[in-house]
Amino acid sequence: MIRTGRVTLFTLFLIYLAVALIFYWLGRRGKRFVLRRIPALDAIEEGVGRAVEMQRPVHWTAGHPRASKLYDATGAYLAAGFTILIRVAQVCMEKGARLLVSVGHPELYPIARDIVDTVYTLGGKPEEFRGENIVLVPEYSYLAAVIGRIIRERPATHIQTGYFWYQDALVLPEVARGEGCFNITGGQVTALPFLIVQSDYTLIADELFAASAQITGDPVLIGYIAGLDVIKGIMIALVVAGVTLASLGIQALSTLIKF
Amino acid sequence: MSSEIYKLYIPQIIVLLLGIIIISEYFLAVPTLGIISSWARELGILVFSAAMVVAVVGVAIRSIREIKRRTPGEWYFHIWLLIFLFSWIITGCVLTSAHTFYKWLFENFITALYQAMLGLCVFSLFTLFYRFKPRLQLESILLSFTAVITMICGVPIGEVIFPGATALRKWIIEIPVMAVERALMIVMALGVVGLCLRTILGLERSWLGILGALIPTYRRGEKD
Repeated sequence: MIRTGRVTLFTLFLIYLAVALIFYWLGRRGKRFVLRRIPALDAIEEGVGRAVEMQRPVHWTAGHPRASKLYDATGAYLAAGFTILIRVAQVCMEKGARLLVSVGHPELYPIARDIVDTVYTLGGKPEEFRGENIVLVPEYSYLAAVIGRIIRERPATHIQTGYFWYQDALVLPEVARGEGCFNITGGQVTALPFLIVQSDYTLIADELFAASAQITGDPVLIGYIAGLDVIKGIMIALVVAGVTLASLGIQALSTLIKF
Repeated sequence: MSSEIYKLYIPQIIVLLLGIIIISEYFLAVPTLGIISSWARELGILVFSAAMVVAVVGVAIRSIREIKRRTPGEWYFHIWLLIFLFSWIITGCVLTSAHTFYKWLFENFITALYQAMLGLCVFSLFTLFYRFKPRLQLESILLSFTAVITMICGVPIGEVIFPGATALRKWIIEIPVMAVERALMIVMALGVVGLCLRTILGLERSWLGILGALIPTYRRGEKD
């Protein structure tokens, strides 16, 4: 019944699911877990405040449309990036900053527009929503279009969260820094070295995926995140055990994982 | 609030069902699951195509508005955008993407623009030192130093200048870089799986827009 070579993986997946759901259940039962503050998320308010003081806009983008798609494995980064957009839009609406959104993915354009529109409507400021500030940039010239927009509009804060190619991760924050922007970024492993060097704050590793828990402050979601930390502990134990056994010439664990 | 409920819960039910089927198909060898998951993937492409149409209409509306307003420094670019947008659509629909003219357009516009973009990226890399000079942070010095070592050691002259350069480059790439990259990859993979499961189980609703993301907050507010 279970596909060959995926038995151990399936077992690990069930353990993962069970631990996450136990912590989710504990969260629902009222157990409170403490979530470490994520500095990059706290910096959003600082960045938007800076934009208001300088009377310049805030710019957000999600990455190159050819590098990622919502319906494949990279979609999780885009979804997580959009959670950050929600927070950025909320803070911009509260503080009265102009928000510029550059979207390269045609399938994400309506979502981005809907998110910002709904934030302003729920915040009681529907008249302040400007649809023309949310722009779909062409696929092949994404980088040029976004660079051009940053140079023309000169935002005070540049935020990019999603999935980025090397050139996006390198050039966009660099251009933004050249224009005097405060940079907040977050992306996948391959983009991280470039983002960290060029940014004031970066969402490192799974901070990008834990963002929604801090943004909503929902105890149930925080419980789920706490469950993931337990799974991380299990993974660290497995890695240490695997390295030790392999160093001793025992291949039992690697054979078991391939089972 | 009823329309919001439909907007939230119907997509969640679809995602839950399809998510369970696609995950089960990966682990279990059941032919029916394979057929349904393949159908679901095709449905995804269909939805993606519909979103493309929405996006094209959105771009066209915005461009027409900018041209009408004569937005300084922008409006004439929107004329070009509309000309090329509809030229591509008409060429693609009438002649299909296999036609010589379509290929000519692709090679002479898209490829050229794309190469220019890559050139910009390479130029940016080469000017790295100059741009980092005003702010000599430890991270930028380390990055630049490692980049130069790995670049010089990767070309034949590196071995001439410093015997053992290839071994040093190999060590940098295979030991410290690989160790950090794998650690980050494991953690991020766990984060991705976590987010996907949260989405499938309906705990994560940011993809449904702000309404979905705020539902837990509303619930807490109602309890208080």
